[in-house]
Amino acid sequence: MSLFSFELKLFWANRLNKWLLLTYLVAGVIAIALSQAKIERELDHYQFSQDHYQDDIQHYRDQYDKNQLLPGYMGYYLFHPVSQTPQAWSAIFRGERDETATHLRVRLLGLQSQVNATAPGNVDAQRFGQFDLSFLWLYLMPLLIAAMSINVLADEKNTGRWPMLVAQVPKGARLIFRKMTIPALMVLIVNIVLLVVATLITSISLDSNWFGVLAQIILYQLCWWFICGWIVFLNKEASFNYLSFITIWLVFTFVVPGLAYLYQIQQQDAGKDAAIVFEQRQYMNDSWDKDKKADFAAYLALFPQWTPTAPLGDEFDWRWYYGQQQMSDVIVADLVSQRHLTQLASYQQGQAFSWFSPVMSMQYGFNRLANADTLAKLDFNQQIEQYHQQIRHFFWSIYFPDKAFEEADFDEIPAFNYSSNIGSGLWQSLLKLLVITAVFAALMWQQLRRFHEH
Amino acid sequence: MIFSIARHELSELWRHKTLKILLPLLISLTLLVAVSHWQQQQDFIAVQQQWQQTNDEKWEAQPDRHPHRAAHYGAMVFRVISPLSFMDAGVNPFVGNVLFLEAHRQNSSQFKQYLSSHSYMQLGYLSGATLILVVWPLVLIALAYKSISGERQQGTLRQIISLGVSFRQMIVGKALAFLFISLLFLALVFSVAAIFLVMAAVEADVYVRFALLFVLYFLYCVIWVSLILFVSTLSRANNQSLSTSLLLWLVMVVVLPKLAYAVAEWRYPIPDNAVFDIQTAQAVAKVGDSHDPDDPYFNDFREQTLKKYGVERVEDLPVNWKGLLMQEGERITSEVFEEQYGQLLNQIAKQNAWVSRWSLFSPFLVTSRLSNLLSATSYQQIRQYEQAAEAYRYQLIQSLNDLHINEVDMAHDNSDHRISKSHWAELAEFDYQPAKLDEEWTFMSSSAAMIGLWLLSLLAAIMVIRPKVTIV
Repeated sequence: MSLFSFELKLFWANRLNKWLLLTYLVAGVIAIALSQAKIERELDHYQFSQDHYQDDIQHYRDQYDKNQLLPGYMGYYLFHPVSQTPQAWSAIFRGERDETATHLRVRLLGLQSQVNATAPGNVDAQRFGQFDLSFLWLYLMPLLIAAMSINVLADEKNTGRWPMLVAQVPKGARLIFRKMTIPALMVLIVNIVLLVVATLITSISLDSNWFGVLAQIILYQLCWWFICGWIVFLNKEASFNYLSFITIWLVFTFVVPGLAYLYQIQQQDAGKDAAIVFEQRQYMNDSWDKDKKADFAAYLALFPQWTPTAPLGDEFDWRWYYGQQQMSDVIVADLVSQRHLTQLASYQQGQAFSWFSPVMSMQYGFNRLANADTLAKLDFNQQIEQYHQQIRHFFWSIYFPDKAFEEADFDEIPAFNYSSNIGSGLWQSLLKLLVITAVFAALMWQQLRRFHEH
Repeated sequence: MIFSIARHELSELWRHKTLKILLPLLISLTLLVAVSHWQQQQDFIAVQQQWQQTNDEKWEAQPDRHPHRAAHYGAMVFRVISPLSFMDAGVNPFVGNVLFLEAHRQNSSQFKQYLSSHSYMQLGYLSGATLILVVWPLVLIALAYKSISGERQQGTLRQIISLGVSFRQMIVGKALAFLFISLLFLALVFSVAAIFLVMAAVEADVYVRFALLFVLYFLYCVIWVSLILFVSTLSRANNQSLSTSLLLWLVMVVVLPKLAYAVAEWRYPIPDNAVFDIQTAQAVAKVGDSHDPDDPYFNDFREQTLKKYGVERVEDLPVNWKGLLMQEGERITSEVFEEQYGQLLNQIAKQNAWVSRWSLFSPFLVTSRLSNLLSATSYQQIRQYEQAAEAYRYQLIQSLNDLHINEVDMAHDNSDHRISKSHWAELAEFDYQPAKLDEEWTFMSSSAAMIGLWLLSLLAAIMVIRPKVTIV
């Protein structure tokens, strides 16, 4: 029997190891199933609002058939659903999806007052974060690796077997490596099983991203393996090893992300965004007290494409109303743009901090891959703005030239089709991880040399 | 004897590097976080108050307007966060702080305090409370895991007991040492926090909450010290004591809360914003549509109104019929909204009740909940605020509908018809007074009882347990 097989047998003979691996596997499957159920519920919600939207359109078709359709009213009461359809990977990496609304309904009024509501849901749950596969991989896997390998040397020394063992092999370090490699391989096998289970249960496909995720997991595991190795070759007692490891884990999982957040929020003016809704509402309401004809002329001066239009009469006119609603978006455009830039800057600041934590760096990588990060959120907002412009354009093309709404026009009402073309960020994530891993590999190597010297 | 043991344990701890490194580090980190959050919190409170003042001024500065225009102008309310948020942010980072109140619609709050994502802090939002509730137990584990198992492993346990020291005296003495360190840590953090509160001249109620927070965190430390000593007593070796304590921490503080909420959300699903809006609109439509001249509900309402005033036509009513329609429509939408929202809240309550059951296995869960309540940053307190805002919205809109009914002649009722601006100042501003501590005991009693249960169980276990004196 080779020494490797012997070590494998020893590892497997330990009931604690079996239980830990089994618990990790079961927890992983539960996390995948729960996240997938959440995604399916989201898709059900989208379908529900789509069905309702079609019912609404049918209602207006019926009005058209009865010659009762009032296009101005239809524009006011018709809510158009928009949703940030989840990508396959968000079934296991929830990312920031629970933080903001990914499913909204917008209508022809001022857009900014419609898109900034905070996500619904149980905020108490948000305090504790998500239980998804990324949590298991990023937070619990390092602890699992440590639980099974951090004391391979300390335990042998504690039981008095180390002098005997080291006398039988040319280099004691090799023995330690072998003992550390077996649990690492076992964890890797379970991780691959989890990835396969996720592929089977969810709509994740076996493409280049799949292998990218696998590569990140292997590298991440290697990073923590080096951290364990470094601590092991410090050659201290078991308790020191545990405490050192948990301190490093805590720094990477809690302290660095926390300090990053502190830095991020220090760069922001809290409460400033209220100006968006405040100014918009003020403008919209003040418009009613102004000279409508002058207001309308100012609107047309800014949007000359609608100029060939009849002059306003004394009665209420939807063109004036919708024009003012659009102007209220124009009034706050700079504030919205600043908000966008602040969010982007905050994301980039977090990314910069993630060079100092493999956990953060992986999380940014996974969230990007799942299109469930700040970039995705900002992109979704911009797509909503573009879509809102499309529906405005569609209805304005009827209202301003005073065209009759035809039956065929119902089929031309623009639909929102979400798509994301932002890159997966895989290479950036791998590079960061590689650098952090290299640092700990170097530390372990240095410690290994000292270990040999002693 | 107990105090001698405690003194001895403290001097032993001081001799080792663990305490000398960990205690100052954690105190510095906690203070850094508290100072940073305090400064941000005060800035935010000032900004919110300023917005509220601007809103109130703008409300009164409205020109002569049709009352329904004023109802659409509406009011904005800016939530002022609790002065204790800097200690325990609770749900503050996850909820919006700006609420636009207008006719016909119950809008959701908008704009969180900060724009940054908090999903990268899966161990909890970085605050003083998180450091005390999540990280401090780890420090206690590092300090106390070998307090009994170490004595046994070194063979000194038999010697101590043979000297006539009872095991109960020994464990209480050691516990006192670790509690003294916890007290020192909490006292330092709370002293600095108290200076902030004094500088801000907060109300007496806040000081009481602050003092109770101190007591709560200390009791939480008592639970952890008891738990670690219990594990240490049962463990055969230091290594086992440490790994078991760490595993308990991981399960109770990190895994269980997440898992419990994930399962609760799966068991009791809630609709998202868009679906909720649709469901509410559908429920309102079922009652009646005031714009539909043939709507049975509003036809019936018209008949009843005509009968009440003893006239044949709405034009003959002594009041404005359109205003009455607005008022009835508002009443219906509010009633339906409350019913729909009640169903949603019921689902959330079921989720939280499900998680509460797991508090039996996690002192962290229950302490965290109580800490939120004491800091006035819990979901319940945010909900009370939202309820008050909705009550204010309803009352404001219905007052404006009253003006519509009584001050606007139906014959000239269009948007150009205006009533005097003097009316705006007569309508009350939103003046929300958060509940005082003595009004919130009902929220807290079950959590407080659960903490009591944990304490009693652990103390009883420690009193009953007898260690094996020799190494197995």
